Amino acid sequence: MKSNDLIELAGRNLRESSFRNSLTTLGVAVGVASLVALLSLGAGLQGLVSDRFSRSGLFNTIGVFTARDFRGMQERERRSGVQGDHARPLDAAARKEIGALPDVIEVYPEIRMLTDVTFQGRTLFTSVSGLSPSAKQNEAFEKMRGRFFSSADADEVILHVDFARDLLAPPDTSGDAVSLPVGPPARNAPEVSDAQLDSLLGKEIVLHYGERQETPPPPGESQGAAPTRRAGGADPPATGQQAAAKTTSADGTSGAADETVSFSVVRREKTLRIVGIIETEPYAGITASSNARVFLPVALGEKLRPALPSNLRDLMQARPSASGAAGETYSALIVRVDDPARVQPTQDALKKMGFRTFSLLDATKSLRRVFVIVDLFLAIFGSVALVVASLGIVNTLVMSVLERRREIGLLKALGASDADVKRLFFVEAGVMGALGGALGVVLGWAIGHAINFGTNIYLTRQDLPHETIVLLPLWLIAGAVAFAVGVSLAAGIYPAARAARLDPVQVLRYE
Amino acid sequence: MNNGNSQPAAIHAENLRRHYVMGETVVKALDGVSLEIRAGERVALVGASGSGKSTLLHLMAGLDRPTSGTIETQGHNLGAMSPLELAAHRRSTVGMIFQAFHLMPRMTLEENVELPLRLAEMPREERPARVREALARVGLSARAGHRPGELSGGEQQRAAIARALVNRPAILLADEPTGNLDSHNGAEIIRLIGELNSALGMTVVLVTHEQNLAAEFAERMLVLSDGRLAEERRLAGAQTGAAR
Repeated sequence: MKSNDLIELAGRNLRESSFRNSLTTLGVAVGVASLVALLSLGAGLQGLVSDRFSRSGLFNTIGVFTARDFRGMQERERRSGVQGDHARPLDAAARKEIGALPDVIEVYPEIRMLTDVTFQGRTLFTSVSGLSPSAKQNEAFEKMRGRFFSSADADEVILHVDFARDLLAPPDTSGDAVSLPVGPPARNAPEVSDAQLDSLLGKEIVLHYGERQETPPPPGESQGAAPTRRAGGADPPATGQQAAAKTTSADGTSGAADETVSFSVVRREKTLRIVGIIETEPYAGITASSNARVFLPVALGEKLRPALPSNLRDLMQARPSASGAAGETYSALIVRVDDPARVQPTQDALKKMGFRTFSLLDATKSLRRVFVIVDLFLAIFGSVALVVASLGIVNTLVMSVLERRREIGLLKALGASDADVKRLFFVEAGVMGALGGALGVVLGWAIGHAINFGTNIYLTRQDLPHETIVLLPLWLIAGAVAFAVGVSLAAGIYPAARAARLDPVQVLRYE
Repeated sequence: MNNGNSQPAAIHAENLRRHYVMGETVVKALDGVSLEIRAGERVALVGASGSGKSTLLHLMAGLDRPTSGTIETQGHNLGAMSPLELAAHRRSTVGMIFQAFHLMPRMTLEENVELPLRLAEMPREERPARVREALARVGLSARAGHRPGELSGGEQQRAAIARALVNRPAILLADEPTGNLDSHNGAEIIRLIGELNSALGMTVVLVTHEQNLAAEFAERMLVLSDGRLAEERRLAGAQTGAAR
């Protein structure tokens, strides 16, 4: 029998016992609704967490380092043939090349320094970090006081609220400079009012830093002399100090083509306007913003050319870090890709380029694994109702076989094969499953929205923002209906087989 | 296998047995029946209840399989056919009518008559004409949209005949078609079957326990007793056979 005839006959049969079949279909619908409601809750919570992480920028960010920075990997390097001393430098050319990789939307250097900040005559020691423009998407800036940077290199800073409180605290009379804990948030931070915090906006702080200036090698040092340390004098307008190093060959001995690299550190001050105060740490990069208390635009940070610890390390390792001739190198570059799914291919490409990389991809995988397990449990609990409903289908169809013995016998006498009879019952089971599945999705959606509505009422009472904790993605709709049909077809196996086994001779003789 | 003509017999049975095992008892419904029915012939199977006539009809229809012996229709051994082939045989070679009519009560007459066409996977657009033709042959064109419950017994049996005819089978197997009808309607149905035999040339095997009816209708009467062919009678004055 052709499919359209089968469906037509099945539909006719279902209509003939409409009340009983409707109840059975409703049973399937309730089962599917429980499954959909639980899984949409799982999907919603997953979406909520994924969204938070996605907006934090952690999962589409890769830290890129030069290969020699990983001492623990030296053994692996030797095995792989990548010698740290020959590792590719993380310089401007590399930055440009990385920026040209597909999927990369942003490359910026890690800028972080421990330095002094002066505010209204008081000097505080703190950690300063560069923030890229994309950090604006971070959740930390959603409910900030003030605003984000007006431009990529504006003379502006955003303060962490702990540091803002320290700025407003009464001056410590024990000394001129106040040393503050740099890392973890100050638990005993002084109490200040919202109005006091707001009063900081628009005011100025002075950032003290050491500017790195390339200096030509002193005469005679390029001939293989030992690196010298030149004491800086009182160069107006600031004090300078020069350091120099010569490059060495791989075996550590000075080569014939020695090149001395050197730079001066000149003390500078930069006045910056406070434009915002944030409550939470933005984690805009892998390491850059961690535990920082003062944030400035990363482009401004680059322009200031601050002497960073990595410059000194480069100097000690005799790398042409601050040499104008060899070009600037970075301690680390932060690479952002357009989609967390593109992190792995980009990491692979960066590794091929000879760099070390770090991302939270593994953490994402763990998170996904947790959600898969949670979803699995929700699906199992949700499926219980559907399995119970499938027993209803078995019962309905077995009853139907008993009631329709004569009809089945007649169909066989008229030329229906066993397979035709089986398919007829399968179609009936499938139609009940499909209708129940569709109705169940609607019911599940309604239950999910009721849960969402109730949750948001609770959140409102707790003075918390509204959240969407229930999501009904297309895959769940299609999957739920397909699952309902599948379970219904499985439930139809026994009744269909029983119908196909009926002996038409016996049935037509005695019915 | 054939009766001297090149055309095979419509039905040929050789030493046909159908035994049922019921616990320790073996019921011999058919026990060594051999017969041959020519294409276009009208044959009546008569006998008392339990003589094996319905069992023989079911074997001819391919609804049952013999315990031993052979049964062939148009040269095809039904005992050797697969279940699918037997289903195809029931769809295309034979048409059946029953004592209890066995019409689908919630279907209209035309839907009932269309059922074998659905099973035979006939294209949908060709079906209405075939259904109309079959209903016209049994004189029920005006009742096409009615349900069986709205018809008399005789009309219901005529509808069942239309359903049996619609696939244009070579053999019509009628199992006590007048058993549920009064004598007038019974005679009408027998006359109709005879007319169809004359008009369409189909072989007709009529199972009945009424020897008078069989004598009126058939060219040949096979009398079964205790599962064996007890007697074979050639009949000269069949009611509707005059046209042949």
